[in-house]
Amino acid sequence: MVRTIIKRELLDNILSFKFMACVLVAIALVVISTLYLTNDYLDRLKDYHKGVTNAREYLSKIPVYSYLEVGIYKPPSPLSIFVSGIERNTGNTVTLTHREIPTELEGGLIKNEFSRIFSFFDPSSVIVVVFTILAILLSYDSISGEKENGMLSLALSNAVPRYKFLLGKYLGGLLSLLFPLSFCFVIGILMVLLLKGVSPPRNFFGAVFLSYLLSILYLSAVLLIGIFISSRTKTSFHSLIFLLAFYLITVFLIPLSINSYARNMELKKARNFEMNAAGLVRERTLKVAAEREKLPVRRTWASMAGGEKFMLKRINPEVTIEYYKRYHEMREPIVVDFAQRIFELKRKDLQTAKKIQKTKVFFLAFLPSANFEQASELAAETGGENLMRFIEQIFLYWHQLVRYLEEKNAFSLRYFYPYAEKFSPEENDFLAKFDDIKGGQKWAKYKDELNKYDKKEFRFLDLGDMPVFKFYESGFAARVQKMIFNGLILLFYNLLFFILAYFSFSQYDPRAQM
Amino acid sequence: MANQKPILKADDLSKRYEDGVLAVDHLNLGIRPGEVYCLLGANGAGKTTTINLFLNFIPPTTGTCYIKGIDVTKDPLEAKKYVSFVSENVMLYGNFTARQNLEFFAKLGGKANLTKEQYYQVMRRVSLQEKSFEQRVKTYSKGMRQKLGISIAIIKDAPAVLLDEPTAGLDPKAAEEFLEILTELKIEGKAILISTHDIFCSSACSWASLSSASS
Amino acid sequence: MFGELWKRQLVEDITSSKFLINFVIILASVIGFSLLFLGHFQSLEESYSKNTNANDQLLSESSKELVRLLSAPLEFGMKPGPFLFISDGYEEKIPKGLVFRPKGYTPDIKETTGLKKASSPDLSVFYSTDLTFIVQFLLSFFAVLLAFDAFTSEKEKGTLRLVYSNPVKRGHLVLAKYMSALLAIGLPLLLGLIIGLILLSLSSVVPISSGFISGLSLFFIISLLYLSVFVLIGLLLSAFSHNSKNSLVLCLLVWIFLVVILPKSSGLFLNLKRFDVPTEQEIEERVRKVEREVWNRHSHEDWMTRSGQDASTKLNVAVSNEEQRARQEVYDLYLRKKIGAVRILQSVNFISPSSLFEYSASALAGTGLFHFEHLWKQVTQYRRDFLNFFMAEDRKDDQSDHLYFHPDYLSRRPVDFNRIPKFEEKDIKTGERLKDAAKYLVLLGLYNIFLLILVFNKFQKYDVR
Repeated sequence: MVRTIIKRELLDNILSFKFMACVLVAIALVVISTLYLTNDYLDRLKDYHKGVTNAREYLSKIPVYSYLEVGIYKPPSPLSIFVSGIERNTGNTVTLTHREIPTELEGGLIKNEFSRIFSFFDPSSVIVVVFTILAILLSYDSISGEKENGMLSLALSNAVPRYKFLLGKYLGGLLSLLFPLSFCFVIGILMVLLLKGVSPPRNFFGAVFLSYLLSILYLSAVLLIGIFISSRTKTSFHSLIFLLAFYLITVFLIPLSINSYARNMELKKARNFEMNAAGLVRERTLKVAAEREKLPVRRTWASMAGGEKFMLKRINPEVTIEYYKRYHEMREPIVVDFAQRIFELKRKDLQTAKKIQKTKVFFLAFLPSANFEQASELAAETGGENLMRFIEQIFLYWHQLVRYLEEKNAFSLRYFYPYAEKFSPEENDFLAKFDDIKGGQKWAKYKDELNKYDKKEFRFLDLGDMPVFKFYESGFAARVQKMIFNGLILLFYNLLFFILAYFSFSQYDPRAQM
Repeated sequence: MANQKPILKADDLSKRYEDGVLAVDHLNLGIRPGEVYCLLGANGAGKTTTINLFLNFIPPTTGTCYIKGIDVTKDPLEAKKYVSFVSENVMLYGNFTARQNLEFFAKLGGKANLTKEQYYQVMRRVSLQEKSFEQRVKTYSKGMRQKLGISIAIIKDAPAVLLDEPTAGLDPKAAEEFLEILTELKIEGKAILISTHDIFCSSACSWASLSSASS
Repeated sequence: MFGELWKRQLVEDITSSKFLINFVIILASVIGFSLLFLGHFQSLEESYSKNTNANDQLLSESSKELVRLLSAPLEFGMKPGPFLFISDGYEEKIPKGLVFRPKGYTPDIKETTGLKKASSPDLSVFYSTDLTFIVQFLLSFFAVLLAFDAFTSEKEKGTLRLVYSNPVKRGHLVLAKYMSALLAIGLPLLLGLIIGLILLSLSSVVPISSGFISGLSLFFIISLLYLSVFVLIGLLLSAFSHNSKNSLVLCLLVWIFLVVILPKSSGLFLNLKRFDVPTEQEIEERVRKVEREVWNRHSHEDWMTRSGQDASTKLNVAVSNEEQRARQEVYDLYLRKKIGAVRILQSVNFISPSSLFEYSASALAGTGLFHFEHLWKQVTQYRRDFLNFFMAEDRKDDQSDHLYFHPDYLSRRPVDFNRIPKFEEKDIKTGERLKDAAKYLVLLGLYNIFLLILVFNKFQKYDVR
């Protein structure tokens, strides 16, 4: 009995204009977005590999510890082709030094900050926007439409219990949605794997499967809501208007308002960092300056190019070398200490942000479409949660890096002096010639001579035993765990609206108005 | 009245649809004032097509329709001033009352500045119940809507009246009431063209023509 | 005749449940957004004034020695104004201002600054909370809903043939439907705008000027122009269909395409070579190259400073200035390129009336990219005024060697803080804003005319049976 109803419902839907139109549009959009986003992913992957190689190369040729910058790159996830999250909008690298603990990513392929006003759609938003409309169109007249064209009385004049009729309607609608949905998923995956030869990481298929389940749960909920509304309103037309308004409000309006409210909250609370960071930086500068006065040797050079990036000029008397050695031994630990203090400030803000995030996520989970979007971001690990984890792992690595530097006594001579030994007597003579020139140097005149010495072999630092950063992505089980709350709510909605529809339909008057 | 010029005239009228069906085959008719012409036939015999041709809803394959001597394809706006139309199975504007519907179509038909009482008169004439005059049309039964449709035609007071299946869905009592109105209109001197499959309706007709689905 | 058609249509539209829901949602959204805006605006103003104070403090500290003025890095952000209520212009996403970064000896405008960045990027929303969004999204949706069954419902009710059995011109019905829908959409919008205006002025957080009110009225007119496009689309699709269900599906899909998908596709083109801008590294390299060119040009001269007044010192300073100018040119070009690339990308969006409306609203409100460009122009002028002031003050000091702008040879006298020119952002004049908006409005107008002609044509042959 139910099977007959399902079959009829399925055929009816598939042959209708609305179905074909929506499915065509959906497929076209999925294909287009997958194509472009795959290209984009491959570009980002190239950029990532280039960055990693450059960083490694750079580390092999560091003459002094003041030059030590560890370039850390965040690998792009192929899942971002389907659920783009924030990956495209954030940078993908931090340059780590002992002087600062980073809290934001830079770089990435977005070189133009103004281009952030553009956004894009990805396959998951096709589900939210197009498939939802299809689900609404299939379900808004499921009860009231049948009544209006007299089919309901006809159907119920047979020995069919009402709940079976309802079940048939629901399952028929679900199956009608399942075909194009699965088709889109398969096409997307095939395109990604075959066309462009992307190699799927470990969690790829697991995450895709999770998204697939989520989509089904989500669309099923929309279907049931539509069926329920259809059994409550006087005419199909009213139910359609109601459902369309519901669509607009829950897919666009409310998430937007909640997001901007959360952003406002965050901006208000995140004042600590900006207010006090500048103060801390000034405090650090003053402290370093004060301590510097206590050093036994005063500075003799007028100005150096830049602050940290020391030009590898020949440094004159040993006295100067001694001075700088003491200076950096004093300064760098202070810098490290202040880096942590500044980060502590920022961390407070990050935690407030996290709390606000959690509340926002909690409330949005009650809107089916926002719930689905969030959950799929969690499954694909392309959302803000993933970014925060990355930053936290960088923080841990920073401590490892600093400990390594301390062990190697990096803040001493080798911080600025590229040679293991001191000058030879010849070099000392040569350098003495420079002694009588104060202020600027006649570089041009002595450039050739200098070049002879510049070409001398620096001793590059041996960083073989330096700890290396590795980013750990969550496993399948961990992802499921994160999504559990969202999934349960979607499941709950399914049950709730089925029960509501059942009760509503059992009292429904099947007579058509004539 | 026989010596007057026909108000509704069809000259060698034919209509073949794109799918090849010949709905109207060289029809000739002329309806003078006070005459009622019935197009009798089964469903799909081309009766509604004839009416649609007169209203210039579709172009004829051959031939011409004239309303009061005006070629409907050449000057449709002028021709439509002289014809009233009762359509089959109209839902009308559901959210408006009967009187509001009547008023709207009266004004479209050129009859502005009528009083409420005049509208009520017409509605009484078609045997609509008083209490339903100011009720929304979406609460009406099929029969009531038919009657309202007829009253819309009456109030326009045009010399020609086209009726498409006017008794479909009416119970015998209402059908009889309709026949009475039809006779009244005939006496008033209107030229009437009815398409129907109701044999009893033809008792009011001056002329009738039978057609089957294939011709 | 036409009056009758129009009157009846209007009564029907306004008493329909579509209209009621439309009305309620619009009012609720406007009120909600106004409240959200109030909170947001307050924090924007606070941070702007804090920034100004920080600048002033920097200047005041540096005023103890004239030469220190050169090294004070000032940050200038975009001033928040009430027009943000009309259109956000994505000001939260683009750089919020410019930095005077003294590099070498004179302040150059090098960096853009994100003065108040959202700390977690996924709080950034893809649509902005402003009136433009409400009109762009909600009202266009309702416009389509009002018009999608214009002809098909009349056909299904049988009233279409009744109407056309009377001497009624085809075009009259089209016009009646069009004007009625426009009114049914325009009325709630007008009411919403008025209520929003009242809320804002009551709160006394946002300064309401006559300029703002006229801006709001212009915005209303632009909105009508935009909504008219969607009414016409609904009418057109209705004239293509023979039943309301088909028409609805077509209308929904077209709406999704024009309002959701199209504006969101330009992001996909971002990585095309065409929109490439050099990286920061490349810019720094170019700067160094340009500096080296300047050096090389003077390499045969003896321009290494030794001391004080001699010719070589003067030459050194001249060379530095040349260097500085060359650097600034590179930075300016870089900024222009970035903005230019974005503009070109925006023009891809011109097929979507939704984007046209967004851009014209942003131009009218003087926010977003337009705002940034105006700020840039003003900051450039300020830099000139600042340096002129500096030179004038320095000339008064006999102790100074007057070598601009080498810090060792300039005045060290304290200068009165109150006399230092402070940057104050001037509002963009209405005429300029309208000029910016003009090209989008013209395109929207063309859209309207084109669609109107299409609808009239299509309906001439519509089967009324």
